[in-house]
Amino acid sequence: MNTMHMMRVIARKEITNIRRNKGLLVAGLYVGGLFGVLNVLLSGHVSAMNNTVFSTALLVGVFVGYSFSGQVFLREKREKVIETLLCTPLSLKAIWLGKVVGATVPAYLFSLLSVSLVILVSNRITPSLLLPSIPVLIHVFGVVPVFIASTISAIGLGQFLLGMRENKIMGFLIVGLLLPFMYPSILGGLVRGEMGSVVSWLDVGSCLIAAVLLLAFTTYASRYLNKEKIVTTLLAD
Amino acid sequence: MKVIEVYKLTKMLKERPVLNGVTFDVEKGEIFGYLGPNGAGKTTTLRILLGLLKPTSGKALVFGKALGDNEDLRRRVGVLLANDGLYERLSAYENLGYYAQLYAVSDRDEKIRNLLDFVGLLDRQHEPVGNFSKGMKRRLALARSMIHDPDVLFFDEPSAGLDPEAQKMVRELILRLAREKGRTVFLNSHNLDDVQRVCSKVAILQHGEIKAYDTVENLRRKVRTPAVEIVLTDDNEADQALTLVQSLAYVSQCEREGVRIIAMMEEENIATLLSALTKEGVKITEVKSVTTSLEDTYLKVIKHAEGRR
Repeated sequence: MNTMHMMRVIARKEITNIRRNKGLLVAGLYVGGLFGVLNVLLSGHVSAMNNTVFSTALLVGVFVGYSFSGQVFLREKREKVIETLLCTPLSLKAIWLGKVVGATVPAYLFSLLSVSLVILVSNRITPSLLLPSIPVLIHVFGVVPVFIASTISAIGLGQFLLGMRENKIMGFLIVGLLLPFMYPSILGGLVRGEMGSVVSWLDVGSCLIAAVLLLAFTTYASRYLNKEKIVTTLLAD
Repeated sequence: MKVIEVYKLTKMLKERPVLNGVTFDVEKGEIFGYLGPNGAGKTTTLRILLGLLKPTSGKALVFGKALGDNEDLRRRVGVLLANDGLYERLSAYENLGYYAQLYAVSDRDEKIRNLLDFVGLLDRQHEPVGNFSKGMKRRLALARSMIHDPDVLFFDEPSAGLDPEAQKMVRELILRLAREKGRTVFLNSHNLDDVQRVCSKVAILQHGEIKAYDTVENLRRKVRTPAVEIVLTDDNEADQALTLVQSLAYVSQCEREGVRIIAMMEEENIATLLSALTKEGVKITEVKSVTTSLEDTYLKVIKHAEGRR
């Protein structure tokens, strides 16, 4: 069976499911929209736009991606729908990867939405045309989707491997880690803007390395993923 | 030809034995009933057969192989688990369409429509499953389990939550699958009436061990307690009749419920019993031998096994 085709089938179903979940979409719009606009307005410096785009794209993508992975991985496990899917001729890896793609695509779209808002609002409050720098464009269109996908694959793996109680703890930890990062990133943008610093190739490269390292770790950890682990953790709570 | 083979199957979960040396097999075209009280290990057996859990020891094979590592073999298996496994935000059509794609079914549209029509959901095919009643979801899940025309079907409580009409539909469907299409059906159920009507062979599981395993008829015969029911015409004669029946040497036990007297005795003594009663002037409306249902058999097996623990 064509694994790529099956992954696409799963991803398409997950995207449809997310598209029809109004609560999730509203949460995504809230995080993506509000965070993007707030970032610009609070920093107040148009020279900080590149910095704001840099951090907003990442944080919104990861935050929204986390909430989508809850629908794609955790909910399906909690409601035991996953058991029927595990009985199909698909490999566990194809199921996992299909779900990662299914959560990454809409999360990335929300990330792009917030980036668009940052650029739009920045241009509204300045008379001259502001465009993102080349490293920032490479970051948004090259690094961010990889970063979101690697984060979602790690979160999804954790949600599959852990019991429901452990998943709750993981959820608190992720939100607890992301939130303090989101607001200092606004302040960071402000400070860096004032100092006139710009997003460098080093920043972009560091993000890419972080994403690749996370992906490597997740790929390594995925060897512990098996059907029995999913089913027994589903029975545990 | 053996389609399902389970041999000395043992499973430990959290260091607790859930299955202990379970052995049975199911032939091609057979409808096999797997019975047992809650927590007996029925679903664990099913999960091992489906490759969702690995056995601690022993074998659980479908078509001679373990399903867990065999993706192609899983294509020949249809599954309806206790959970419907449906996506509430997708429509009935989309749910079937999704699984039809996963099983690489050809002529998807036609098959989906036929199945939806068969389970009586064609007119609601575009509605989100979240709007459906429990019975409708169960019927849709049943349709989903057959979308790829599997050779063997594993049903876990297929008629749970269904109204009597839908239960009848499920029974007829199972019978048709086995008789007309030669499909093998593994039926995990609490509904003893369903099992008695459709299953050719049953196994009764308790505390992870098989306590009985045979055809329904043989099992009933094995645990049968011969009994005769006497319905009297006149309630006033009941006490006199009861005393008389109790005094007969071939009656081991006897009880009265209104005008009905149940005597534990062999059928062959009915004529002698009748003549003894009529001699005393007792008027009788009806005499019949009491049949043992699968429910009686099941309860006796479980009670007997409980007593031996």
